[in-house]
Amino acid sequence: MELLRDTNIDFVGKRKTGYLISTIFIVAGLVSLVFHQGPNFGIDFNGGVKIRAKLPAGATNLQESNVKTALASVGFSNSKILVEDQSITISISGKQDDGSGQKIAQALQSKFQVDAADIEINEVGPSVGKDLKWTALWSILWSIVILLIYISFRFHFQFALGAIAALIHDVLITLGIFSLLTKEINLPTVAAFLTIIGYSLNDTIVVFDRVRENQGLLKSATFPEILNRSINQSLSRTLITSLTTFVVVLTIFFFSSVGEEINTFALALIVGVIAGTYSSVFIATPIVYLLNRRGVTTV
Amino acid sequence: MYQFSVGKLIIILLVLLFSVLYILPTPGAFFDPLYGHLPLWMQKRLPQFETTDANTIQVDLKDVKYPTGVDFGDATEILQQILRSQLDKIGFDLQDGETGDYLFQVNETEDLLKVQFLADKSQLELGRILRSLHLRGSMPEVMRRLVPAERLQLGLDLKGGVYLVLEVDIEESKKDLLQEKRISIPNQLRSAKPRILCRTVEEQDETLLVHIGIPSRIRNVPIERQKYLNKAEEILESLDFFTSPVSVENHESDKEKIVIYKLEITKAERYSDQAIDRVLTVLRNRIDAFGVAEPSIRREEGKSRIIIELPGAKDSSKSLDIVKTMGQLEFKIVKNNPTTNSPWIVPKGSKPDPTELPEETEVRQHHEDESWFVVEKLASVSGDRIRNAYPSPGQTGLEIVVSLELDGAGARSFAEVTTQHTGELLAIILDNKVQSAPRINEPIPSGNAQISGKFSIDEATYLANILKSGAYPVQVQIAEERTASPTLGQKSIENGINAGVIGMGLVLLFMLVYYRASGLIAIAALAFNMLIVLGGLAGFGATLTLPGIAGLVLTIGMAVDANVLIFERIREELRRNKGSGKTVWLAIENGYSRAFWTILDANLTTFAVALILYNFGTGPIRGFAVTLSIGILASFFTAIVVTKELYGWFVGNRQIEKLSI
Repeated sequence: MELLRDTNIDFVGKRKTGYLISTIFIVAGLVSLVFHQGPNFGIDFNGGVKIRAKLPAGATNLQESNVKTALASVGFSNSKILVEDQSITISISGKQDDGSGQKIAQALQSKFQVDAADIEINEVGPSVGKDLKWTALWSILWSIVILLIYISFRFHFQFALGAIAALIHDVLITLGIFSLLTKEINLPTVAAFLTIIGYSLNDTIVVFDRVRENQGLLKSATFPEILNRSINQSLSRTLITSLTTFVVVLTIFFFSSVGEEINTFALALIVGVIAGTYSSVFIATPIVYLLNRRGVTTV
Repeated sequence: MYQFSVGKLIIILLVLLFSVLYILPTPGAFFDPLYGHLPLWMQKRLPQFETTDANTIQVDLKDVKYPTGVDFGDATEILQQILRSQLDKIGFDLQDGETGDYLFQVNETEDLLKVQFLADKSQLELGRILRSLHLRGSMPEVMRRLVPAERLQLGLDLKGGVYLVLEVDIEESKKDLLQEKRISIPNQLRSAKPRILCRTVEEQDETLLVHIGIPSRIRNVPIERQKYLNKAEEILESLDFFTSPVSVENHESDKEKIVIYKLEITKAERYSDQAIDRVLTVLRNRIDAFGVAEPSIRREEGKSRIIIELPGAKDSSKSLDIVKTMGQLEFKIVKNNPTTNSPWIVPKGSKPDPTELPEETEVRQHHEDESWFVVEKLASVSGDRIRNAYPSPGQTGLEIVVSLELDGAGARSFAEVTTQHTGELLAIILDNKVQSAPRINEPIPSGNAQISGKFSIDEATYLANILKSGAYPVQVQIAEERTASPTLGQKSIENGINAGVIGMGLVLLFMLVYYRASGLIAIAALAFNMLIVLGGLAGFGATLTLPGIAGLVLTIGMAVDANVLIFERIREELRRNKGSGKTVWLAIENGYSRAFWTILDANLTTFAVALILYNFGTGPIRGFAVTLSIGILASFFTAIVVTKELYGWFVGNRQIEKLSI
């Protein structure tokens, strides 16, 4: 079986459409970010308490309103509660007193008969979070710098710029979608972002590699023609490699409950993989085209 | 032309072997039936059994370091149980008394466990009995050295346990230190021999200026003066966290000559290192005393933080208590209220006005009823003088108290206090809360004191351990607290495995359908990949965390990428070759060589990001980064080397018309 064998889509020509779609998503994301006053940082960054517990069998009184009241009575009025099939997740953001986690766990045990062994407590102080924000930022910047250098070395500077543009695009889109869905950003989410950065590049490189090869082969073609041929030729490759990763991340997403961190992690990867594939075709290459059009010589 | 390479085959087999070695259960269980049954700590620490005479074998447990909670009695019981079942298997019976086949004997000096064989059966040489019992462990030495013992460990989030991060507030602690020294230095100098007059201690940034007065009688006697100053310097030198004293100024007046010494707090990094080391020591003492199996206490590199991991700890409240208690014990005299002429204690709610208090006193609250005690500021004896502490029955025999043994200097100070203040109350203050304030009935020269306070045996044990392990030199704070639940962890593992299996299944299905027989090669590569990753994780001593499982599952998806790249290339080459008479193998070769650089570029960039992730991440995220990195390396190897060889063995130089791809 073979799909997408001899396609001949004018990607370079259609780039403006690509820009439009991306812009819509990015702007939507940015608007949401502004509206929510920045990314929705979770307790790893802002400090706070997050408790997950397995619901005891036949627990009927564990509804959001009941739990909220119970928490308020022990002094926690600003809590976010998520009740699922088998588990409940409670998060309270911002600096809390020492031992808050314990207090909430006690309340769950005494008022809702939750077993102590079924409770997971995560309590983070504010100083850890401050450090983390910096480290996260540094990591992302470092990744971008290193990748910029590597691609310039292996291809050409324009290509590096194109690739980086695609990366930034992917991160922005994922951030935006997270904000729209009001998902929390914690440590695992940042790890997902870095993975997206590394992974998004894979597709881009596949295409660039083709471009470089075609430049040697198709000496009579114009640059846009070379770009188009390259993308078309590597289309099946790009899509299939992304497909396999996508399928796998989807299974992780479905086999975890929404309150788990791994679920948010998987969601970030899902968005990232889609955006990454899209950006290799509709962002990275057109940017290279743009830069080339201005007369910078190619590889 | 395909040329079969023995070298590559060997490499592939070696990699396969090593991966498998780290995944299979430890061979100890197969090879050493007896040893295999012993608990792990015994396998590691038990010496070999020996034969002492014609019918006795024994093992010497004298130098065995037992884990917490286990003593000689427990160990011999375990051994006896296991021996019984094994001896049974080779035909020995244990019956009571002398009619049985063998007898266990345990030394009173708690070092030997003997097995004495009584029946005729024991006419067999004992050496052969030892061998058939595998008491020496029969796994050949060579194998024991080669076969790795490490297996994949589960991380806290999957196994359950407590994770704490302690932070030392360096700036705060410096302030506290300066304040504390301003009071204690003059007193330390005053109690020296010869008695050193300290006029005042000035605080200036992170420096203390100690004004030492030279008594008039030695003012003009150089030798005596020098001895005096040497003593002063010796005491100042001995202070922790400060640099050596430097004499900076001399004042001379008719009344007195004053020498000023400057003490600086050691440079930020050294100070922080010293402080953290001390906290680490105290922590290690405390947590050991509370018997959590395999605790991990270490400093976070480059920061003033300590990471504590307690696998298997059920809830964090007890651990938090252990960790948060400063452990600072002080004995302070309770002042007499001048108006009532009785000990100055007021009930909760009527805290005395600071202006009413006499000089050099302060107020402290009782830890239970919250009444206020007016005590001397200066501690008569402090907790670092405690040599030993243990729970014991009180004088009435009905209650439980904590008995303290003070060291030499502490005993002396204690004797002094109890002599000078007989009849008064001595407040025992733990972390600035009054535990109790017993009356000093008589001088106590022995340095043995008792703290009473309606303790349960648990509470007394807890307090004794805190006192014995010492106090933190600085204030600590809990920066992070995470308690993982074993049941939730179990669920996560299940989910992870399910996701992995289904994900893998889908990918495999796709590869088969899309690439037909070549898909089989991809599947083989994928399986090999997983083996390498799992084995590699165990080999590196990594712990498996939930993000790690996610990493594993992700690796499944990414591992196939390289294969896809190669296969697509091969398809192209085949198309190109149509009709030109070139062999299928040539297409395969070209496919591999053309795809090589693409795969290298793609994998290298993802690998670089994984390294950055490792660098920036902690704990669980690191697990993810390690899994990803190993997965990338593995997929590179399997895609470039393994699958190509597989093609070589199956296709090679055969005349094939069409490749199933």
